[in-house]
Amino acid sequence: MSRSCVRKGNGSAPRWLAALLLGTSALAQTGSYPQAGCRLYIRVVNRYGRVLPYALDHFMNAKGESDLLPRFTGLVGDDLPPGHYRYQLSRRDAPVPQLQITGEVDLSAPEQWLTVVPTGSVAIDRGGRVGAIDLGGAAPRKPIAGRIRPAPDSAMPTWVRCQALFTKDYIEVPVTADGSFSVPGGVSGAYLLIVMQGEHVLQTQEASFGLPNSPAAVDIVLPSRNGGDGR
Amino acid sequence: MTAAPAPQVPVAPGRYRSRLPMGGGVSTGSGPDPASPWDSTLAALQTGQSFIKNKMVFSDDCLAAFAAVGTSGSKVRSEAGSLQLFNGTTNNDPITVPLPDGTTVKTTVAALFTNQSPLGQPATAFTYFNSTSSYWLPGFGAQQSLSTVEAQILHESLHGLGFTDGQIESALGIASTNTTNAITDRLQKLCF
Repeated sequence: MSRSCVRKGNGSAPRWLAALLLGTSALAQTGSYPQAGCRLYIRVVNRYGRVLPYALDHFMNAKGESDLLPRFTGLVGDDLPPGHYRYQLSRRDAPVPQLQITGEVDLSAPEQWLTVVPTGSVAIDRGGRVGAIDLGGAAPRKPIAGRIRPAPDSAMPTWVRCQALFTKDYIEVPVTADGSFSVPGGVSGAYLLIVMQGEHVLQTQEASFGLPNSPAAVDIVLPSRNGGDGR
Repeated sequence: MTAAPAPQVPVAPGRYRSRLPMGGGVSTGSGPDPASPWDSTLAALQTGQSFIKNKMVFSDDCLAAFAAVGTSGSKVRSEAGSLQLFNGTTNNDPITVPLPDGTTVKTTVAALFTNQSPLGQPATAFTYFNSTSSYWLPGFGAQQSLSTVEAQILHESLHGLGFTDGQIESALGIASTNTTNAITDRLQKLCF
């Protein structure tokens, strides 16, 4: 069965094509996806995964000919034909243009998930003027000290890949022979720390950085192997 | 008050210039007194503003960055030269801040520049979109190079021209960050 969304037939299609489409549609209805089209889930969160109050303004196809907003219930769209779309989201509690999010998405799979993380902070005065708040001048936070226990075999290159959970950001930092590593203080958000050695993952651990109560240090304990010393 | 003479600046980007001597730029007539943090910041900003307006030659990379955002070197230069620079801590206008945690708080412009800022850290600058009004943190510039100050002015100028941090980050291919330092860093790298 095709992995793409199922296109609906139209009145001008030849009979054999209509029959084929009907068959495909019937197959789709008994398969892994219930409707003739894509389902899209949109989730707007901050860098820590907290849901933000956004609503969909429009969901236009690439040519800008049709707005499929009526096919959405909240931020879940159903029966969306495959293709390229442009969307716009607005923050419900502060519907100013500067907080709108615009983006593009390609739909091809029966069900797709889209996590959107807005950036930047604004303030609005009583007259409705909106301004950008920039936070760059604060003294940089101290690096977060990390330790892997027991220390991985130093004969193999070992590093920690810090992968943001809600954005595409990541950084990679080396692990020293005693198992220590350091995450730059400027990193903020929820991350998955992936301890890598050669081609393999030794351990993973979730950590949040940049919050007032974020830990100043991170300990990662490697799983024990055959009940041994953790290696 | 008499401003100290500005340090010599080159006309080409990327060349080293000494940082403005913070804290020693104001004379009261009875010997050098330490300037207030805002006086020092204003002096640094005005020096940077003057350089961008009158002498700075934008590199090709810098111009490409402006074009990617949707503006031009001449517009940025004009906006930078027109920015009205204010002490953020003295503006008690009420504002509403939609916070990154999904809540909204009512506060003042001045509160943004304190340790009690609802954003968890004092703002460096606050600039109204499509405007020349720009508010700054007293003390900014004391720990930064002059090129950092100038890059921050370029950053605020882009806001003055109407561009949001999200638009700038997207245009420059900058990974999203909680702070907007990355934009200033990128502009500094591309333009100085």
